[in-house]
Amino acid sequence: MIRSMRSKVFLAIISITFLTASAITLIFYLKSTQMIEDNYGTNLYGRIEQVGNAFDDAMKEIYYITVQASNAEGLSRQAESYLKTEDAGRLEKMSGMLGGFKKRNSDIGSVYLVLPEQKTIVTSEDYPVYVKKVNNSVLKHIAEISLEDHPVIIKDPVRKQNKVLSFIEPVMKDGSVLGFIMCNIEERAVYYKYLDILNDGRSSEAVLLNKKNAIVSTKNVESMGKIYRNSNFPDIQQNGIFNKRTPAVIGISYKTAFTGCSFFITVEKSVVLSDLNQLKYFLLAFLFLFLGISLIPAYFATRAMYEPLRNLTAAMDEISAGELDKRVQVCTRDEIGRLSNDFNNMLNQIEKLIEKLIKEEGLKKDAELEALQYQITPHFMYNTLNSIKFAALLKGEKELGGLIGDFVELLQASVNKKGTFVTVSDEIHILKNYIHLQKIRYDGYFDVDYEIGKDAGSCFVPRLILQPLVENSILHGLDMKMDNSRIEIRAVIEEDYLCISVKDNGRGMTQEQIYELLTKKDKKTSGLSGIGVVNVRERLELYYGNNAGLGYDSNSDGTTAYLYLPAYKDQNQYAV
Amino acid sequence: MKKSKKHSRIKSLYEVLLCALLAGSLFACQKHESAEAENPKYVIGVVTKSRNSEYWMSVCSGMEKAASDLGASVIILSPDTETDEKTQQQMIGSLLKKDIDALAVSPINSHNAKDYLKKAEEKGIQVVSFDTKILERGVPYIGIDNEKVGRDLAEYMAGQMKKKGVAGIISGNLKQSSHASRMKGFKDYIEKNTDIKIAFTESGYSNLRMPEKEISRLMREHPELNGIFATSAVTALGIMEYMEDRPVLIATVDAQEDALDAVKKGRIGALAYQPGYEIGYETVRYIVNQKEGKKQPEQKIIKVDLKIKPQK
Repeated sequence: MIRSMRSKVFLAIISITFLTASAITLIFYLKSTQMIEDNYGTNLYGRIEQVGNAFDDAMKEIYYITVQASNAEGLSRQAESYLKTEDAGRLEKMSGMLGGFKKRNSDIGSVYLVLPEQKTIVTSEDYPVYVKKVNNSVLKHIAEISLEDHPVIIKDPVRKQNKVLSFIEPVMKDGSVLGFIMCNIEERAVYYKYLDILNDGRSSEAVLLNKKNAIVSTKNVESMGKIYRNSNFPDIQQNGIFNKRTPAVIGISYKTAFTGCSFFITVEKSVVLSDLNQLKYFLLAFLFLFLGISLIPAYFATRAMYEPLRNLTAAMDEISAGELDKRVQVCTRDEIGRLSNDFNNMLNQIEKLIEKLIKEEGLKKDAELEALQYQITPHFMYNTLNSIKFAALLKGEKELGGLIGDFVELLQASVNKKGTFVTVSDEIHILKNYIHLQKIRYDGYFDVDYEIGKDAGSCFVPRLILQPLVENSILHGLDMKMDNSRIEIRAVIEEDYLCISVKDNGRGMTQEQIYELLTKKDKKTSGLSGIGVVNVRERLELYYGNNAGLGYDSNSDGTTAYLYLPAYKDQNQYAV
Repeated sequence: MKKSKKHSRIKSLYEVLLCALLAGSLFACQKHESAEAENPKYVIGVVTKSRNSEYWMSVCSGMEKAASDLGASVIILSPDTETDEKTQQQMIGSLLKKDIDALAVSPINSHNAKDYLKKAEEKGIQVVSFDTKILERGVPYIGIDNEKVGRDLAEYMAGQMKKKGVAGIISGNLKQSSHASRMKGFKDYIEKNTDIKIAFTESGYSNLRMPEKEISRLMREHPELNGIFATSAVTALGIMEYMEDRPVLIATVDAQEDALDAVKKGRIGALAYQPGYEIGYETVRYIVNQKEGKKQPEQKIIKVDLKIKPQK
């Protein structure tokens, strides 16, 4: 099983290369065979056409000679004279004349003058010069065949064992047939002059056929005159290069115009393609060589491709082993490069988140520790204060008892860890306790107005979120010398947000003071909870992120603290 | 399990790709069993009057070119001389034995065609005449307008001789309509339009040289001779050579380079250049068109170019 990406890519490149190279080789080989077959066929056809035309021209010449001989005045005169005198000397003279015609074309084997009436055949040969008492059937056959289209295949009437190709023309005298001139062509002469030269050692069969498919000439002399049959090529009486797939044979046929004879040659394809076998081995060797060479670029290409991937996987392995500060080295701008970049960014993001988490965790721990410190003696203090409260009540000091009660409640609210979020109404209740106490402290020199919207009272806010703001107004905002000091506390819902404002009509604050108020983290010692305005801001940010905020607006008429946060009624919706 | 399924899918995809590639390449290379080379649509038998003059060679060349252009084949047979009527008849007979679709004849005897026309009709072979008309009804003719050629040459000669003087005619075999028509055209024009006296009319010299004896006899008998009209250029060239010492105005018909050369040199006065190649080409085209069912006129007249010796 191949696991490595590099091996897979490498294998893919090699497979594609192999497939492509094989296909090209195969196509090249098949095209080559096709081309060789076509070229061989065309060339051979051209040669056959040439030889065929030469044969046709020669036959036409022999035909002319036959016509001339049949019209030769001297010959017909001698024949006529022989008919009258039966003088053998005439026959010899005629033989001499026939010899003259024979010499006019080297293809002519013999020229005969057939005199049917005397049953005599005069030849152009030295022996026999003439033949007498020729069989009637032979003479009749000559007369019949002379009416056919020439040349004809006929048994030599003198040398009876041989067949010859012959042109026969009648010798006419005053409208009647005196005799026949036969110009004979030996089959072997045709074979060696016109067929054998076409045989370059590759053709399996070469035949010359007449219009009736009778063999005029072929390698085997005995076949002359027999009907030629070839089941693979039923129609060879027309020009063509016939490329047969089964059996793998090329047949070429050319029909000459004048004689109507067809040259037909068949060649086994295996013989034609024998030279191609060497090319086959060459192509195979070339294929493997090409494949071998292609391994080198494939090796380097895959290595170049794989290197950044390997870096990435190695870095991922290390990171997953816990080395979170590791980063992938990005050295390419391709998809792997982008992936590595994204991976690095993701790691940076995770690191930031972890840092934030650690920081928050630390803050939480600090807060808890702080809380624990505050909880050292709360119960003792409650119990003692409750005892004092009841003692005061028993002594009829109702106001003092009430004050102590308020203080106990306030103290409980400030140190109670249960319930981070309280309703606005509860928060106002705590605030009222605090204000009540502060009023005793400052001898009631200020008034507080509350304006809590209908739905706002039931919304949740972080506990003790308003107390520091009010405390800030009392301590730093209100002018003790004025007798109409007033604090207004408003809470309304505006478009899904709870908006709370704490407004005083005191001295006002400078911008620097506001900035200091919102940013300075000094531990307060003078206030109730030791929690500053900064703490309010941080808590809002921690719980609600960007959905909450705190701001100050101040002028000579006083200072207003604005606070907004999401209006919600599920206590734990923003619990951390 | 899932993995092996995926693996086998990829494997089968590879197999399909490989098969497609191989099949494609085989398909690209495979050729159907072929039978190439052209077979002639029609075989046309042709018998000319002669085969040795340049004119006849150009006729044969035009025929062979037309046959190769139009997908036909021609079998051309030619007697040795334009006088060998018997041989020509024999050759027509031989061609009619063959599987020909049409026969084109330039007859040595325009009047003796009945026999072979009948035979051809029996075999369904269409006969046309070219160069020289077969004077039988319904036999198409492709060639020049011989009578007009005779008239044109007479007009030229009359102009040169200022319509007076003595002229002689040496014609080819008058059995051939071409020579007869040329002579008729010449004679008619001279007789009707001029005072030229036609001193003699010799015939029987179709593409043949007139024996010197004959020429000297004619010169002796007609010492006042100013012009000779020869119906074939071979005859005209023979006269021209003999008459070197005593130039007479010679006008003739045919397509021979040596005759053209003689016109350029001024030794022959006018030559009606009979375009052999065009006649041959048009004859085959006429037959092929006819075979293909296109309507043809009964006569296809080929234009003659009249070459005149440069004026001094």
